[in-house]
Amino acid sequence: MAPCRDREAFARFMPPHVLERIMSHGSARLQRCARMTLQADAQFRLRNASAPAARPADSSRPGEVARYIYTAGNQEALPGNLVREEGEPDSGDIAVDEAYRWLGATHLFYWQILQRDSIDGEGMALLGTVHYGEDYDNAFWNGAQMVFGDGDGELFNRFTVALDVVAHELTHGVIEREAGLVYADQSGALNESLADVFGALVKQHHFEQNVEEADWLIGEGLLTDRVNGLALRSMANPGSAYDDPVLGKDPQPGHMDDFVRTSSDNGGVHINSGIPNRAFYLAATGLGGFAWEKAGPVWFDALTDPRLERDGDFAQFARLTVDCAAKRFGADSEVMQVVNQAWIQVGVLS
Amino acid sequence: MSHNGRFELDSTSVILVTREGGFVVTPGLAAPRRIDCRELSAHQRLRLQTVLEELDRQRGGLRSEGADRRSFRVTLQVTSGRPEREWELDESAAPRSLIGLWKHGAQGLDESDG
Repeated sequence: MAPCRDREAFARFMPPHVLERIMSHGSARLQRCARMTLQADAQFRLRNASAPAARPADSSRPGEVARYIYTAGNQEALPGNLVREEGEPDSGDIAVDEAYRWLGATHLFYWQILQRDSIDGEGMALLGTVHYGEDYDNAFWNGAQMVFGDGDGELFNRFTVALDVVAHELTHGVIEREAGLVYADQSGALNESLADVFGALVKQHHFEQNVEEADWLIGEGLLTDRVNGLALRSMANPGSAYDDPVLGKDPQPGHMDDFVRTSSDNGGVHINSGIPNRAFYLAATGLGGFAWEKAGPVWFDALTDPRLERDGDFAQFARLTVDCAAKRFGADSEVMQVVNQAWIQVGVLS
Repeated sequence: MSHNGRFELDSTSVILVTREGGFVVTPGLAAPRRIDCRELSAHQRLRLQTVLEELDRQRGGLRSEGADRRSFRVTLQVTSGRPEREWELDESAAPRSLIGLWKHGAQGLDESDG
């Protein structure tokens, strides 16, 4: 077997998502190189990681939420200083209290509607850090907790302002522990879409909106008045959320004919997510009523289905939703047919 | 692309700094910031050289875990026949001077690196 002389080159040039794809599809030698590189990468991380602070206690009773909200004090150290934990009253800091409230609403949705107990299904503590960085225009999931910036005040408001943004980040944790979708290309766009779908569902559930009442926007309230836009993404009409001199025009496609091929954004994960987002919108509105009663559980069944591969593409997920709809609501049921038709309308199934 | 070799910026060098990823991905914010060395003072060019050498010392390819993380891509365009270079690094590993470069262009080179 040829030695893996290219390991150093792999380490320097190959992002992890490419390495993971090689692990799945490359030749035996390339797979070996990729595996060694990922192992070296993991060892490097361990060597360079600071000792993590002990995680606070998870929930002790099924279905009970355990929230811990920290402030980074406009620095970038995580998790920061604990400001509010479960059961404590409002702190008076609006970002802290929004994070606490919206994490609670998200936990409630997952438990009441999907019978899932927190991120890991076992009552995992929910950690959120606010006031991260200076004028920080982002929110993210770091594999252990959610993090929210204050925004710059010119283009973006604080990222805790929108319930669906908080629910989106928590859902990344659920996806990571269930399907483990590789964060690149179609599987990455599917990962992003699922975070949007459940973000929207949590919002609709909290505000008791049916499919006609819902705005189907992601990040409504996040853009300041200076921006010409409604939100960051539109599930109903991808590509229509904003059109602004500074931000540019919303680049999301809503059909496979317009799929964007790009090397940036991990292969356009926040761009092509518009396609499965619209499929969910079409399925939910086609079924009517509350989206969390039919379309939502079908999407969650597919997300948690062991047949969904880590590098699964849109078509694989689409077929799973049709199969899950048939299992949950019956073969040839209206739900199965509407779900199937939704994926056909966006060009994923034919 | 090439890494870990000597290079020296000259007046024909052009640097592109792109911020990628994050919950917010918009064409306007994703557009690369272009730094033309012809327009830099001697101090700024030296500072830029230091920033790029720091990127060269960092291991490429390492990405933070999770989702909606941001990263920077820095490209040194072909100059005087030398090969192009490119660096990618996580936002969490980015020196302040690089972030300043993305935010403020060449003026960011006048800021101190904290």
